[in-house]
Amino acid sequence: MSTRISFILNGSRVTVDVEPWESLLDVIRKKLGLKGTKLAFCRGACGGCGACTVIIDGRAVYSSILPAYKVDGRNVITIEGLASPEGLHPLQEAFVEAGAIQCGFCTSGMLMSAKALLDENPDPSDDEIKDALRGNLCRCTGYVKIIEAIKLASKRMRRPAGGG
Amino acid sequence: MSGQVTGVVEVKEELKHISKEVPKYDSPEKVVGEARYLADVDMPGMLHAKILRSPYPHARILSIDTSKAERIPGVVAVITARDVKLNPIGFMKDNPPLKSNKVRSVRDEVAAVAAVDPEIAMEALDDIEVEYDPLPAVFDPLKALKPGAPLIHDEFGTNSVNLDFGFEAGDVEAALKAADVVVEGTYRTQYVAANPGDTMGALAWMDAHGVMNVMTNTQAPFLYQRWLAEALGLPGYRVRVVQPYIGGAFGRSLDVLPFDVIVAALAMKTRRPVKLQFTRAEELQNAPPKQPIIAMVKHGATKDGKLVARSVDLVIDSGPYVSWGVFDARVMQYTATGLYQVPFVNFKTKVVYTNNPYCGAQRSAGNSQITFALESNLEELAEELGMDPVEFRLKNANKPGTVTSQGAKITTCAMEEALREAAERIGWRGRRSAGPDRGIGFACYFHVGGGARIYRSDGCGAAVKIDDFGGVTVIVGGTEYGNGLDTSVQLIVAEELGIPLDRVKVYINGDTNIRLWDVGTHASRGTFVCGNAALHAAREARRQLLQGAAEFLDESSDDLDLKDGMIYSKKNYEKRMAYDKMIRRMHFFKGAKGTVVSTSYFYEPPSEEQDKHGYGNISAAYGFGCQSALVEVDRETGKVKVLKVVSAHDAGRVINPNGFKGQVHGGVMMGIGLALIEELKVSGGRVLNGVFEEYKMPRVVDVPEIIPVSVGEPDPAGPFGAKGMAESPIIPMAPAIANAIADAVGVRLRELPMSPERVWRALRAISSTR
Amino acid sequence: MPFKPSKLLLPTSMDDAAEVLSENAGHAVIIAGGTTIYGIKYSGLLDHVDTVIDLSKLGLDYLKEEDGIAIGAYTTFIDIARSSLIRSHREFMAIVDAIRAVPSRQLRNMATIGGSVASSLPYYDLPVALTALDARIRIYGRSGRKEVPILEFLEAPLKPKLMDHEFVYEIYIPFHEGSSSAHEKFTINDFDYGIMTASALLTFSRDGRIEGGSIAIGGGIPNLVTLDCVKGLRPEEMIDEVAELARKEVSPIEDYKASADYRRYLAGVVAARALRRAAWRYREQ
Repeated sequence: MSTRISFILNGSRVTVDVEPWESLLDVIRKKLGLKGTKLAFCRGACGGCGACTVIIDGRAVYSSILPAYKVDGRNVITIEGLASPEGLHPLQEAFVEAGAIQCGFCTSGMLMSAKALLDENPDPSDDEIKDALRGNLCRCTGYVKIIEAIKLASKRMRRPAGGG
Repeated sequence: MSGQVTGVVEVKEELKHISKEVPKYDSPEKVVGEARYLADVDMPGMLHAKILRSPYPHARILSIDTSKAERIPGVVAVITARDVKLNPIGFMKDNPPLKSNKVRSVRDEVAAVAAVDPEIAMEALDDIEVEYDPLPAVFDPLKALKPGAPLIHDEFGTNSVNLDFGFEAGDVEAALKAADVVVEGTYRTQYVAANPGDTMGALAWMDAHGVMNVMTNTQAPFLYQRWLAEALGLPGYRVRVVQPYIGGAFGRSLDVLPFDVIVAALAMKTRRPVKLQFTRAEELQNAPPKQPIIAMVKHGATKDGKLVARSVDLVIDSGPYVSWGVFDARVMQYTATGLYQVPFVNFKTKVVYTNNPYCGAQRSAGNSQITFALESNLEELAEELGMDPVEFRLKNANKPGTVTSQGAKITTCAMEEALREAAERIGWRGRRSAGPDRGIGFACYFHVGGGARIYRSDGCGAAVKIDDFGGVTVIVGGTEYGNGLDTSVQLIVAEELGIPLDRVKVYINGDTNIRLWDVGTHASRGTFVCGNAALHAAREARRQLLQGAAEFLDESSDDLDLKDGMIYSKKNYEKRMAYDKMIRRMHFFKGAKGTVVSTSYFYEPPSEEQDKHGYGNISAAYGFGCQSALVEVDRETGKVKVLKVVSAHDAGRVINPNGFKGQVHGGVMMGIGLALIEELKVSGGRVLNGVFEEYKMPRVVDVPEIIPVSVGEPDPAGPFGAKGMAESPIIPMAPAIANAIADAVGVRLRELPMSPERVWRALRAISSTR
Repeated sequence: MPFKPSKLLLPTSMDDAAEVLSENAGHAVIIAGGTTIYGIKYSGLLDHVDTVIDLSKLGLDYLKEEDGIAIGAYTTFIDIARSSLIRSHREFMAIVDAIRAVPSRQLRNMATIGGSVASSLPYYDLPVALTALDARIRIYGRSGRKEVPILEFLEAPLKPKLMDHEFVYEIYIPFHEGSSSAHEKFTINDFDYGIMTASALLTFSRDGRIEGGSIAIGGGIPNLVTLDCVKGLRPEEMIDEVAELARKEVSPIEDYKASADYRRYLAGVVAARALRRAAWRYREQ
């Protein structure tokens, strides 16, 4: 028995039939074809790697352990929705510039966690950044440059438009 | 062009791109989610494979019945050793991809299913009926050597693997007898999972030309091509390997494993694309972990702290089959003779078959394990001598212009500078002076930095072509999985050609039909070996370009230069033309020869294979460094927190500083995991903590202050003076932390990981003896 | 057959919920945030389940004051930890600690208090804090509402004391005048269930002596354990005794993470640390 759900995905309304057991991640990747949100093959046994992180109504969640039907009527942002037609999100620019990316597998999830953080706390402390990343795992970078990139983006986003 | 290159690489006085902080080449696609990893690739009609593995660590297979599984709707094929002829794989060709008579570990592959859906394939495994006759198993390598122990391979008559990695330099026994102080100890290291984001997998399909195509996240596509062809009984030219973006590998993807062969066999049988990618639990249970060791180490020194002899007796648990993990012994051997100046060295190994999982190479391929044993023992020796650990290490440090007893020719070496930096920047003021419950520890390392000739060729090919618009494509045989080789190659080629960085496109991973051969990206060899290949291919492209330009600028090509994209006469700057315009001239100008610049170069580093005694200079350059760690020990619980790490490396000229720092940060964190928490707990041949959450790795809250330091001079053999360093930061991390714990609370941990419980037990043991 | 329920039910009233629970008894599971269910989806424990019942349409997402705090079962961890109703009471800070001990923001955004208690797992943090705070579990079923003390409710791992037709709709936590609380968790790495955990609630008299309170211990033990605090002592005077008592009362499990010995020892450490921090909080905050 599938359920028809409708939600906003990266700014556009989508309608899709989902099974009660289907995760949002499977629906996004298989049924909607967006492969930027990563699958770490945990099969629900969450290791807190955060590769599947998406934002729902402003909050970062693990899409691999979230039943898809629960996003009915809600607003979902994935990595594909982070940039705008005008260009990359400041976080994306900062990740590139600061060298926060190595293998890139964790990058989508890291960016989603970082966006959820900066949207509610534009000027986070180092500890607040670390707390926001406690649910994400990176095996390559040692996190150092990811934290630097978030600080850089935060600084740039707080700068008034047109200011120096 | 090909051949060995020696001599000093000419370094231009003014470097435009080299050593500049630039974004990693492939970060734009990764940051928008467009990079496609294996998990993101599907093909029309694709089937999913799952493998049935043995429930017993050791058993005879009496019968296999697949008929029930075959009848399940959605199941397309079921194979066993009966149905397909596959040749055994591995270094000793002792590992049949599908087992027929006997299983020797719980990982052993008995049957495989291809179905339209991975869940159906998994369910079908339950319906394959296998009758086993369980056999006694052996999990302790020392017990496996005793007479009467269950035989893993009956036909060999012994569990001792016929591989000897021994090396002897001088009469160590006599030297130890003559030494003023001798300290000995036994050190143990653990199974560690690489556990990158991207799990192991392969997607295979036969094409209309009869070619077996495999998309895989291997690190060694050309060896994969060869080994897979051998296993399938195909000529190598009928295997094509394609690598997508790879989400981390750390050395565990150097072998062809049974699953690779099985997926290809299923694709041959079904004539459809077949994919298998490990679930996280399968990754932890079945991917080859880091090779554990038991090392009995002895050091002898004079009373003023000069090392005179070292003896290492090593036991290596091979599991049931010989893999890359066992060959970690060669790296360990090299460190045993190479780390510090030690005149007499005896290195002995016993490699033993057991019913445990077999291992693979993993970041530093043995060096992190042996360096833990050696640097821990050396610290114990320094304490025994009452010497300052830094002074003691300086006294014995490796020096440029020396040759180790095993024949390693040390050219550039800044170990002393690394030691001084590590001491100064961590705030070293002598033992027991870091504050209450705090301690500082040091460890150095010696590692290959100019390739590692463990295979007959250690080379890499690169090709450069320039299009009509000045766009340069460099095609390299090396592999990118987060290591940053793409960026190093881009920097090298842009620098050598004298053109803007954004004109250089790097073709890396992708297709073995297009790329030139490379032995595989491992042993920190990418920047050095593949970088040299790219450098020489670019140099030849530059030569062709200037030769063509000579005609149009009416100047001898010797008098021409190319800088910032402009070809000009060094004698008369009025004579100049943008290089892309020149390219079009050379190609299209009426009456011109119609030249298009394209070059290729195969770089074989000037190193040697070891001879039958183990002697030989296996790398064209060597990396050295030192790490210091400041830790705090919670005396109540035994939990150790690393507060600060100074990570000083002689990597020659650092040509990609962003990459250098990234490798240091990541390697230090991985080293902290190795030191303190990471372990695949194996009991009865089975991984107990094979669930994602249960395999403990360092996380963001564990990040200490990390200070990357580059020391040393450009290396004459490296591209623009670079030496490899990607593995280096993990190598000395565990012993530096062990030594710091000893400094903090006076307990010596000789087994990894130094988990809270182990530290707590050690603390309890000393408090009860006081 | 692995967990692959074919039916999803979203009842819209409390009675409706009790009804569908009753109708589907034996093959249904209630899902809240989903984090526990997904975690055990391939464990075999849910293989009998073909129906998922989601109570998110019952409006159970709230915190309200009523001589204490009543929290709707579907209220997420993050909303609880941020609630001024919770944070303005020193005695509830163990709840904030316990939620902070949940290592990931994503899980805190998804997990609910009802799911946490109804999972009845001794290594979950929030139930330990709620036990120290003497919370009551409010249950709805065919026979209406009832209230059960949390310790009684947490009968056995994954088996809370609930009838087939019953569900948790609210958790009630009484005020504790003149009290403070704290939660302590010992882990191997940050993303870890508690090897041992403890929450302490301390009630003080005007002269800084302990008037009452309790310590709840969780983590690697089959069932939560509670210890009563001794009246009339100052916190620092009872630390050793509490640690000793904690070690005596627990029967820890042994696994690849920690031996039973070590866990028993740690029970004392976390109990003492929770007590110390609760006392510090009383003085300093």
